[in-house]
Formats: sequence, C-alpha cells, structure tokens
Amino acid sequence: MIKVVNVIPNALSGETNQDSEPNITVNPANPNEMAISAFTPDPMGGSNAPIFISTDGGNTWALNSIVPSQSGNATGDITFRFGSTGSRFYAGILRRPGSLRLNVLRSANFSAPGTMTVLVDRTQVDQPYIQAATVPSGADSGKDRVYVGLNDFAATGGKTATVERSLDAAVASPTFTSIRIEKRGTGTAGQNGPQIRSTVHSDGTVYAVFYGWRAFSAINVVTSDVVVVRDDNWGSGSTPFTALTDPADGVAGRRIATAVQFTWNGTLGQDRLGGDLSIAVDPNNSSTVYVAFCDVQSGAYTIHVRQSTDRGANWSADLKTITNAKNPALAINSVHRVGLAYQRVTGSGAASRWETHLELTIDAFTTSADSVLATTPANLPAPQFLPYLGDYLHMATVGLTFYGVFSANNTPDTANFPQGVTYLRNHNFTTKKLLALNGTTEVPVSIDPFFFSHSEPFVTQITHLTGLTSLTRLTALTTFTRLTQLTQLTRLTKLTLFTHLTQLTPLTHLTQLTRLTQLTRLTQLTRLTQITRFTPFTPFQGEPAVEARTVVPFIRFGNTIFAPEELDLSRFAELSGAVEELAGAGITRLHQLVSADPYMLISAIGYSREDAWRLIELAQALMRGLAH
Amino acid sequence: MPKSRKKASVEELSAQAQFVFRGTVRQRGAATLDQVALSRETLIVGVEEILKSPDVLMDFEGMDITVQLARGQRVEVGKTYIFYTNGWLYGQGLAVQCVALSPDADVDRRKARVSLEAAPARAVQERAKRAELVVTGQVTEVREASPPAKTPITEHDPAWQQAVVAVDTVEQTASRAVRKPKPKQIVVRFASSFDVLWSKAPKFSVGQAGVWMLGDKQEGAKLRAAAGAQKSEFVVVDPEDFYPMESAEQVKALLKK
Repeated sequence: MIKVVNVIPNALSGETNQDSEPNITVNPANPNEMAISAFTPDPMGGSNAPIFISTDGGNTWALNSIVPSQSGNATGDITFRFGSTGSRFYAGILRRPGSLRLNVLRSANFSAPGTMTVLVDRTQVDQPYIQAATVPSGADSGKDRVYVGLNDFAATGGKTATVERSLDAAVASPTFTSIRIEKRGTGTAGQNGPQIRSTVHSDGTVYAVFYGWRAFSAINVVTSDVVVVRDDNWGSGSTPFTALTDPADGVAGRRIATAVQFTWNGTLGQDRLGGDLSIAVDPNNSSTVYVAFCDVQSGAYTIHVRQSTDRGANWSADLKTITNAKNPALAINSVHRVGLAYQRVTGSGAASRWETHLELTIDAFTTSADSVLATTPANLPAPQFLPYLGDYLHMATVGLTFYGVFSANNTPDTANFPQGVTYLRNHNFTTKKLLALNGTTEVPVSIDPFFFSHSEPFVTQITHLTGLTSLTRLTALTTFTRLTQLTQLTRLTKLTLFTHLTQLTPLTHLTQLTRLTQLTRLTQLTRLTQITRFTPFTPFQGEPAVEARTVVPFIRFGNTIFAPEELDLSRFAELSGAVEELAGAGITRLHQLVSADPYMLISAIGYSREDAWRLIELAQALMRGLAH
Repeated sequence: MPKSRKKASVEELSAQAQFVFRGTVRQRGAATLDQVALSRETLIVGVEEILKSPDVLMDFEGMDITVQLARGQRVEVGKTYIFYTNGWLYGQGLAVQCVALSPDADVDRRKARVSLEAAPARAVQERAKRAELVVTGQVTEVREASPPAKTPITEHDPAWQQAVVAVDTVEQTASRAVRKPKPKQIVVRFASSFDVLWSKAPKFSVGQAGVWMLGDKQEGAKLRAAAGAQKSEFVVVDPEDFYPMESAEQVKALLKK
C-alpha cells in the first residue's frame, strides 16, 4: 500500500549532492506522470537546472534539465504543478543568478528537452509556492488558473503576503496580478513571513494561509498570527480573497491562531527553522479545509493541525500536535481521508534521527494510522548548505492516492525504511553502501529525495471506482462502505443490506425493494423514489424519521447466502487467537473482517500494518472457501 | 550544423559541450532510455573514450548511451566519431544532445584533447580579463557589513561581511582601479550566508591568503549597488573570484600568458 522510492536515477549513482527541499506534482489527467524537484544542479554543469520526471507512476525516474538557472547551480526555491487537464506544467522559482528573482514558468511537455517559457520575471520576491487548476465547466471551462503564494517585498506598508494570480495561464502571454492578502499591520516586523500557501477546489473556492507577522525582536523572535483567506470565485472578483472576515476585528482574513512565536533561523537536526505552513481542501467538499502550522511550545518547535468544516469561518482547536517536528504537508483524497506528512527529530547527539511520517485519518485525527516512511541519522552527513532537508516538502492526491516526497540521508539500510524502499542508484543493502555507476566504487552518503505513495485498500477502491448497475449483485455493505456521489448506484435490490453507518448521498437511488434498517441515515439530500415509504416532503432534521420495520438480516457473498451467526468469528479455528481483540473493535463476524479498514485495526487494536493485512487476507481466504 | 553557418572551432565546441567523447554508432532510431521519443536522429552510441565529462559520468566509458542528433547532422551506423554533446536525460541510462560531431581522425582527437585540457586555464584568464583589479594578499580582519537599505528578512539573506585584505602584490589593474602607489589594503564584501543561494560564494577568515580577482568592468557597479557596497569596496560572490595561495603561482603564470 505504501511505496517509497529513492529517485536518484541509476545513471547518477555516483552523485553526492544535497538534494534537499523537495516538491512534487502529479498530473491529474494522467497520474503516471509526475515530477519532483530538489536543490539538484545539472549533472553536466549546464545552465538549466533539472527536475526529476517519472512516466510510470513513480517506479522509475530520470532527470530532465528544463528550468532556467545558472551554469553549475541548482535553481533557487522551486515548486511546480500540472494543470488539471492536459499536460501543461507550471513552475514558480527563484531564478539564479540573483537571490530574490521570481520566475513563473510554463512547459507544454515536462519530459521534452528545452527550457521552460518565462511568464513572469521580477525581483524582490521570496519563496514562490505555486498551485494550478483547470476550470472544469462553465464559461471559462478549460482555462488554467494559477496561484503563486509569495512574499513580495515590493508591496507597500509591509503587507507583503501576496498571491500572484492568473485566470488564464495557458494563453501565449498570460496576465498575472499581484493580490495583497494581508489586511492588518505587520508592526515591528514590517513584513509577513515567507510561507504563503494556497489550495484550490474545482468549484472555484481558493484558500490561502500565511503568517501575519506582528513583531520581530532584536533576538530574532517572531510573533505572528496564522491567517486564512478565501475566495469563492477563483480569486477573480474586484476584492479577491476577502470572503472570510475575522469575528474579532471584522477585517478580511480569519486568524486561526494568534500571537504564536518562534525563532527565525532556529535549528533542528542540522536544519533551519522559520515557520511552516500547509493547507488542504477536501476535493469533494470545499467547506472542509485543514491547516498545519508551526510555533514553539515549551521550547519545542511544534506542528499544529486544525480544521474548519464551514468554509473557514470557524476552526477547531488543535486536532494534532507534534513536537520537534517540521515540514508538515497536508492532503485529502477523494474519500475524505486526510494525510499529514511531516519530519521530526527523535533522540539526541549521535543517536538523533530524522523520522519522516505519514499519518492518515478519516475522523479528523480522533484516530489515525501512523506509518514511519524513514528513520535516518540526523547528524550525518554534514550539511553542504541550508536548508539541510528543506524549508518544506509536499504531498498531493489524485483520486484515492496520496503522492509525496521528502529528503533524507540516503544510507541504503532497509532498517531505515520500515515500509520498504526501492533504490534506482547502485547500492548494496547488505553492506549498506552506495556504489558508483561501475558497481564497485563506494559513494559517500548524502541527502536524496524519496518519492512515496499510498493507495487506499482494495475494498474501498471498488466502491469508489466501480460503476454499479442494476444488474450488479451487491453483497452486504459493511460499516466502512462509503457510497459517494461518484458511485453509480442505479438500483439496489432487496438483497442489499444497509447498516447503520452506510452513508447515502444525493445521487443514491433507492427503490421499493431496498431494505432500510432502523438505523439507516437519510440526509436531506437523499433522493427517494415514489415507492419509498416516506412522503416526498418529509423534512429530515436530526435523526431521520424511519419507520420501524422488522429486518431479517443475511449476508450474501457471491452466490452464497449466510445467516449472520454462521459467520461468527468464534467458529473459525484459524482466527481463535484474535476473536477477543476483534470483538473489542466491534468485529464479530467474518464478513466484517473481510472488508475491515486495516487502519482501524491498527489504530483500534494496535496491530502492526503487516498483522492487520495478514488477518484481513486470511479472512478473505476463509470467506472464499465458504462460498465455494 | 547548417552549412551556411561558420564552422565552430574546436575551442568553441569544447566550451559549449560538457560531455565530449569518441564513440561508435551502433543503432539508429533506438535509445537506451524509455523516456526518449524515437526518431531517425536518435542513436545508440557506444562510448569508447571520454574526453570531457563531470566525474559522476566518467563511468559511462565502455557503455552504450543515447545521442540525439541536431537537424542536419549525419552519421553512418558502424562508424566512429568525436561527439560534442550536452546532457538531456539521466535515468536508467544517459541521453545527450549533440552540439557537433567530427570524424574520428587522429588530428581531431588531438586538437580536442589539447583544447579540453586548456579549458580551466582559459576560465581563469577570462575572469582576469573582466576584473578591475587582481591582487595577492592576506585577510587581516573580518567584520559585519552594513546591509543595503530596506533589506528584507529572508532565509536567502546573504549576510554581508567585510574582509580587509592586506595587499602583497598587484598582478593586474584596470583604469578604474588604478591606484599609485599600490593599495596597501582593500576591502572585500562577501556573503557569509550558508543558504543554498550563497553557499558557493567564497567565505573569508582572518589569516586566509590567496589571489583575488576583484570587480567586474561591466557588472561591477550593479554588483556593488545590489550588495549595498561603497565604491571603494569589491564584491566577491563567485567561486572564480578567489584562488587559495596554493594556486597562486599557477594563476599568476596564466595572467602573464
């Protein structure tokens, strides 16, 4: 389910660069196409900096030097995104030579040779962080919207947080407009922080988050608000990004945390600190948005995760805090699963480690499944420059799958990668040595970018992607089955069993033969047919008024129908050791275990990932045996 | 290369091309990497001898790589050429784009070798030509430099410092920098930052000695303005601006050529 790949290609087996501050983009129109960037110079010292490209879903990677730069140097800061359709590829960089020179770039083909086209070229800008989306319908259908969050020192009044926006970036000479999103004073700081991050929903909702610096002390202590802004129409109106106001002062920009503090240029595990932000909107519900930010709590640099379910108007308290950690990256997939990737330091001195985590949750971090992607020495190698691992990393989703990248010490030691790892560069896992292209010369350890992806369990994929027709025979739907708007349920038969947690969406059609239990939840938007035993105008508020009925439950698997008690776990000797634990998690029958969410088993019972999967696979084998 | 253009010299090609090798054409319309879109100009070439390459790619000697010819370049399968190329794709294998090629004659190979060996020396001479002043000396003091006006807070702050250099010899002057008698000391403004954008810029500490190639006849004023430097200061941000004392005699000899 989790794939980790060291992306340094075999041809560059001898490289020892500090390939830090990685970013990633995946083509929504073709998820096999993806690109990764890092502070990697052109291997031949050419004047274009390279990006890592993959056209096979991240299994193999190659470098393609297409980013305008300076001979022999990596580019400065770089982030990039595909549009939602086609293969148009956009980047925001700090271009060399120079230190604060913004370039916004475009390419029609990220794997072709050549140099990306320059769309914007100006100075006095820091940390450009790009997002792109293609308008899916309406008058502007097909137009690429591009948003570059950046710290623009040319802004007046010290309100430097800016979104550079184009409403049609695919045309030959697109127009970009600088939108100042800070509406409050920045006090003694005289500017905002460098992190300005945005997230775009296909319905035209665009959120951005930034550090509203309020003070900067003589000893480099930053005092800041964390501010979220929103626009409901692609940032296109006369007063863009002012849809959210703060209830306390009525000013545009909702403060989700105030007076947070951290030290500018602090340190953690050989890397530097100076603020971290990430923001992600639910691709199936633009009202739900998550933010991660960092500050110092009791002396420890700390990640906080908060959530809003009403378009940013109100925010939760901390759903999650992680100390001694940085580089949070949030993403949400098409079935509402939220992913948080981050890097934290554990231990101290020579025993200190950089751990890279991927944490997934379906219930706003009430429970979550935490996977350690890498645990590598934090004191080696020595830094070649700062940032050591990066001022940020990135994670994205396409459909159900999470895609991300992180940088870490590249020692080929399988113990450092608990989820497994693939190296494309020459290596020896037994001797834990990197090897040059000749396969014999030892290569020193350095910092490399690692791609990772996470796919949803198979059961969920079937429900989401399969078009179910009237002829489809549905077996029992479990408590974890989600019927989404994309699930084409045209007709459910009397054999369909709905449990109390089955969620029906506006597009779910229920027929006269559908059996509803007393606990089936119907929302106000659920479409009911004329034969359904409810009046068409029944206002469903709170718990729906459902007619009490006697339900004779059964479970169907293939062509075999079981009475529920036939599937009691206690009847299967193979599962005898796990019956009590599973019962504690509410799983008492075989069909429940067959379609259980492994992450629930991990979080609720404490199983290892391997044990959870082994158990589910065993249950599936038993069920197949029974059905035959 | 189009016939109408003047043929580039071996020196020019050596400067333009980062990967120069002698190789034999094995196959046309084929590649060693999956990512390469095939055409008649796509070749698999066996690398027999590498004449110029970064260290990390030297092991490609003896291996097959992909060469993408430019329009108008002609080769025959089975024949050996000297390929002047630049990098394109680095994946499971290597793909390069051909700048120029010539038949594998002894004389061409010899010319290429001589030219490539002379390339580092040419770089020193070219830097010296642009310099306003070239001196040898030793750093006697390092101090904080006043930043340019309106310096923002950014992780890419160069963190300017000044190094005071006691001048030992003046190796070269340009009109703007001529001072008679020779300057006893000069002030060099350098980026002390360890940030990725400045990490390759020379850093100085007290006692450090070497050769400084200072200023730039074309860009000097712009560099000073960007760094907030006084007219009397020199801004040093390029690795080619400073050579340690161990290389001093070699550098001085090159300046006399």
